[in-house]
Amino acid sequence: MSQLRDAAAVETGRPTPTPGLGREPTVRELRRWVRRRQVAARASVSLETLYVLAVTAAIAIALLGSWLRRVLWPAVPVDASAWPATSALLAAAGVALLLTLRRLGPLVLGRSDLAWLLHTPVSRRGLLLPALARALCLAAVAGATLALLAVGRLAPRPTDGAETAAWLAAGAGAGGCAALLATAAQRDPRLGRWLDRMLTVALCALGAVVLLEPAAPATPTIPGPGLLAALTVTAAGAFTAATVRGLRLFPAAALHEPAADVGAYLDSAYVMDPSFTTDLRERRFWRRRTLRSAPLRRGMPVPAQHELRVLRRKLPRLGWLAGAAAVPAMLADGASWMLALALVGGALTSASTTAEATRRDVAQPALLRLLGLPARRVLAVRLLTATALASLWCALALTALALLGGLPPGPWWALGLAFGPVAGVAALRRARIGAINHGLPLIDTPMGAFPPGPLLWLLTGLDLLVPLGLPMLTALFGADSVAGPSWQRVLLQAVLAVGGALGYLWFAADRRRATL
Amino acid sequence: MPSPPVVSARALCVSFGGTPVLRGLDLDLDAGDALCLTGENGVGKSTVLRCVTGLLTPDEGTVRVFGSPPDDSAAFWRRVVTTIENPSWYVGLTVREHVELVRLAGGADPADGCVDELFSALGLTRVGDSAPNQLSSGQRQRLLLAAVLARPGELLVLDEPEQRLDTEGRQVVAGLLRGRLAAGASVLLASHDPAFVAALGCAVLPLHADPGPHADPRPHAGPPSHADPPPHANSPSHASPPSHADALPPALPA
Repeated sequence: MSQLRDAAAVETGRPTPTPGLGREPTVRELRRWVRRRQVAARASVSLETLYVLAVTAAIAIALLGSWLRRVLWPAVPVDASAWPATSALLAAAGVALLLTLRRLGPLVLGRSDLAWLLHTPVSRRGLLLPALARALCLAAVAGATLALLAVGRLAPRPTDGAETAAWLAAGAGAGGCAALLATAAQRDPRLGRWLDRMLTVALCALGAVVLLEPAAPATPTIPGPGLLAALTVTAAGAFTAATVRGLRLFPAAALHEPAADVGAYLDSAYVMDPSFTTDLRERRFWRRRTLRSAPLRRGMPVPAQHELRVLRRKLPRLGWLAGAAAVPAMLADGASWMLALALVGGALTSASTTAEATRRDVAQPALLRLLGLPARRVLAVRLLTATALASLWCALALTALALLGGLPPGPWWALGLAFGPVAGVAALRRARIGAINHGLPLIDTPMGAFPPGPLLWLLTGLDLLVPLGLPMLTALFGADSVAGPSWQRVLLQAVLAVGGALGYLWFAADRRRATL
Repeated sequence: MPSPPVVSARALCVSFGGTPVLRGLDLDLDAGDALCLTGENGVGKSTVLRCVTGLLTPDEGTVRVFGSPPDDSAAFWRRVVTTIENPSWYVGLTVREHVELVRLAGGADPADGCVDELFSALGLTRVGDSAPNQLSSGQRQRLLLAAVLARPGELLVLDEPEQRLDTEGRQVVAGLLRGRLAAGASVLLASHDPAFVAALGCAVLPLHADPGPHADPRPHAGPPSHADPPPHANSPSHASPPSHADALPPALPA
């Protein structure tokens, strides 16, 4: 520490303090000292890197620019009848922003700062100020973007520039307030739990508004944005001052988990391998739960007892999944591909509820060897669980879609049930692939060489889901037609699904071996 | 006619990166016997255990377990229980549920009292409702031993079962293993603790780092010999238990 102190003083041009008598270095000086050594040790940013970044940005704008403009600023606003649902969706996006801030921290220290600076006698406020500034900036930008989305959809044309600017300021101010509220919740776990519950209730209420589409007022009135902007920006400023004052005593315990989680997400993005974030989420889920042993019974297969026990302990998550079955109905007016994506995503998520055991058995088969059970039997039981969950979720989602989304009449619920085994097989296949294989040879294309590992990882599971689920997927893409799915289509889907599941068990799991 | 040995290894040779670890090792283990591999770090104790359980294929030589080469089949693992690998315990299950799951998978009744006795003997009762990742390293070692001892199996292959255990815990584990031996199981283990081996009272096969063929404690079905036995060690042929046997827990149901 004294070495750092001396070095910091040298770097800043100040006289070297006498150990024990001189002043302590500030966090800024320490950071600058560390940064200079990092720059000396690593290669600096080259012109080539800047060129690649600039070209990437230019290509992204050229490819996505017009689409982004349409999304942010459609040519005409929505009908007055769609006001409540659109407003509820925008409000839900705001709640989701606050939930995301809660999930990420929002005060996130780098892992090196956490390890080397958090528990040293440097100013806690100085240490956390950059993190607070980052959180405020990100939340303000997100809030302003949401405000722009709202103005683009709700404001009559032509729009007034000053009013739009006021709305953007109001959105930025509200985003800043959300970041400060999340910071207060990070500091006080009791407030955090209360806030999470309130946000969950708000999301459910907003989802109900989107689904039920209540009648809109005859002439929707927009409040004046100037006052709102002044209020939110003033509130954000006042809360920022109070938060900065309180940073001095911010508890260290509240900083560890966000640093570890965000560090893992960044690592995952850097190595292009999202596989281990799943394990991170599972650990976080179970860490917050108190378990109590319940005796096992003879007569029921061991893997089945394991699955049922985990399912019973994941009831809150099942509740979330049941609520999420309404999401496809909310997207009923959107493009067919969005509907199909929501259904496939929901079905895979439901089927993966108990997939963590498979992931662990693939990564480390010691426990499976200790159990001494054949792989095919274990996989068959787990496939049954995954199938049951996915079938129920798909049936629920398609029923809601048929009732609220205006699908043509037909046995949609049966089609959902028949699709379940396909999602189960795909989920198990995904659970068994493990990490991305970055060791595969590069594939040369006219646009340059690319590593096939991430693409193969992404496609694993979908390679079975798409061909086996064709009857359900084509029915969704043809949902605009007058007639709904026929029973013949349901039968075809059921035959494909059951045949695919049996084939998967036969070819992908050994009858004798004890490892998956 | 004598029954074939439970474990039989002949001329076992294993090298890692050109460095020979095992050279021509022979060993036999009969049903109901125990054999302990000793020696300094890196002489190949765990390597032998890995070869016996089929987790490592030797460069040369043969290994037979219950008369057949070890394989990764469920039938093999129902007869063989090992602590060579540290399991990645399931999330969402408690310590006690893991052990009950293993016992049930082995065909035994998880409510027959064996798990209670094991937990009591190994000091796990207090943490029965915890998740395995909340345990200390010593407690996790006890959990692994509890799971292994709860599993009915004919051959136990244990890699330093005394590691991370306190002195009292080591004596308890030695007593539990003696109970399994008395019930007819065979035990092949590696250990660094002479007192633990003495408490277990088994034959010892010392491995040495120097080149050349290793000694065989009982070459080719001859009578057991105890190469370099630890002080107070007992031969499996000796009927008398260690002097402190009274302090050990009773044998558990297999």
